[in-house]
Formats: sequence, C-alpha cells, structure tokens
Amino acid sequence: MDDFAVEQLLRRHRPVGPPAALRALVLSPSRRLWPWLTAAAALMTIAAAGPWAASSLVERAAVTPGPDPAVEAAGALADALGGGEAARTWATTQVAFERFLRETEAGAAPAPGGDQP
Amino acid sequence: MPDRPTEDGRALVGRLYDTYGASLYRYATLLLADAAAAEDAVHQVFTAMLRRTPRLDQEAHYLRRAVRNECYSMLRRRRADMPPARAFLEPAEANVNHDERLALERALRSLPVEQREVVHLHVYEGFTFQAIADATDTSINTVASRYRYALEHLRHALDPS
Repeated sequence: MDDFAVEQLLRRHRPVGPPAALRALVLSPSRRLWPWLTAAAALMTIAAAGPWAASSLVERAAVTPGPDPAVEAAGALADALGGGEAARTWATTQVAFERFLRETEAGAAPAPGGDQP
Repeated sequence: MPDRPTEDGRALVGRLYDTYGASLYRYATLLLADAAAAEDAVHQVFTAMLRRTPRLDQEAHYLRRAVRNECYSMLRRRRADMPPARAFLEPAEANVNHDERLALERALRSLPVEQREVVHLHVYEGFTFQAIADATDTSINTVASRYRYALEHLRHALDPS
C-alpha cells in the first residue's frame, strides 16, 4: 500500500456530520449538559425499564390532566430546555419518540405491575 | 451566572452554526477521533458565544481556532483508557466496506492528534500545507513532516505486511 492508496482510502470516507438535534442544543440558553442528560436519562429509563418508569419530566408532565398530554409533555420539556421555538420542536420530537417506545414496550411485554425492577 | 443571550446574539449564533457548524463538527470529530466528544466541543464553543457574543472580524478563522482550542483542551483532560463513544467516519461513496471503515478509524485513532489534524485539513478540507501552517501556527516544514509521518503510520497500521 503506497501513499496514494492511503489517500484514496481516506477519501472513500469522511468524518460524520453533526446530529440534527445539535443545533437546538447549541441555541438553548440553559446549561449545556443537564437538559441533554435529563432527556437521555428519560429515554434510557423508559426503554430499559418499561412504561412504568417514572422520574422523567416528560412522564410527570404526561400525568397531569388537561388537553393533549403529549402537548403538555412537550411543553414541560421545552421549558426545561429554556423555551423557544427550537427547544419546542426538539421536545415535540422527543415526546413522540418516547410515546413510540412506550407503545412498543406495551405491545411487546406483559403489562407492568407488582415488583418491577 | 451566564449572561442571558439576546435575540440578536441568538440569531447571530444560529447563522454562524448554519454556515460553519457542519464543517467545524467534522473538524472536531477528526481531531478527537470521537463523534460524541465533537458534539461537546462544538456545543461548548457556540454556547460560549451565546453568553457573550464576540465581534467577529474573521468568523471562519475565529470559530476554527475556538473549536481547535476546545478540542485540544478536551484531549488534555481525557483519560487515556476512555473508549470513544461511537463511530466518527462515514462512507463518502457507495459500496464502502464496513471493515475497511473500522480499520481506518482504528488507524486514525492511533495517530497523534497533530498528525490527524493535518490529515483532516489536507484531505478533507483541501487546505494547502501553507494554509495548514497558518491555521495551526506551525511552519510549512512541520506540516509537511506531520503529513508524511501520518501517511506512513496509517500505511503500517492498515497493512502491517
């Protein structure tokens, strides 16, 4: 393998581009890490422990009676991220994804109850 | 407590991110050999501008320098045994072999960051060696040496025979 072959190999690849959500995070005025960790922890909790997993902002917001729970949940998450259109768009996407995960878990696993881990 | 960003500041930072964000992210990705860490670096630079929007006479130069400094700081703080979070290369053309990408990532990760930086700027951003020297405050001879050593190192890593 000569230098030309190495360069050709390099050019067959390129560094990955930024995730779509990074723009919203960049423009969020709140502290950098905690909203991201909060949302990531919420997603991991729901995915790993099933629909009964509770301590996320989205779950607490979704329990509150009122108009469309998804709208309430997205609003709560957007507020945690500092508000604004970008945060609201991102939060709406995340809530929809979490709902999808919950529905997937509900369809794939027995109903929660009792001594869940 | 950080300054609350103004709407003008947010609009400026949004414009800068839209203009330079992707290329800066790719630059950070190669410097750090880690896509997740690159997110942090880029986020840190732009968030700092939200808190205190600087006057930018040379936007691209300023942002590149800021991302570079942030990446080098992160590398100094990074634990040697910390594994990267996820892949940092993607195919640039069709029919690229997955194993080839993994091997190239491993080989790039084994380079010193200064050599990796020169590879990125020359191969992926098309910088001349003189432009790289200007961007990294080094001499053109140093840049040329780093590139030569980088290719040699990659060659041996990818084809030990």
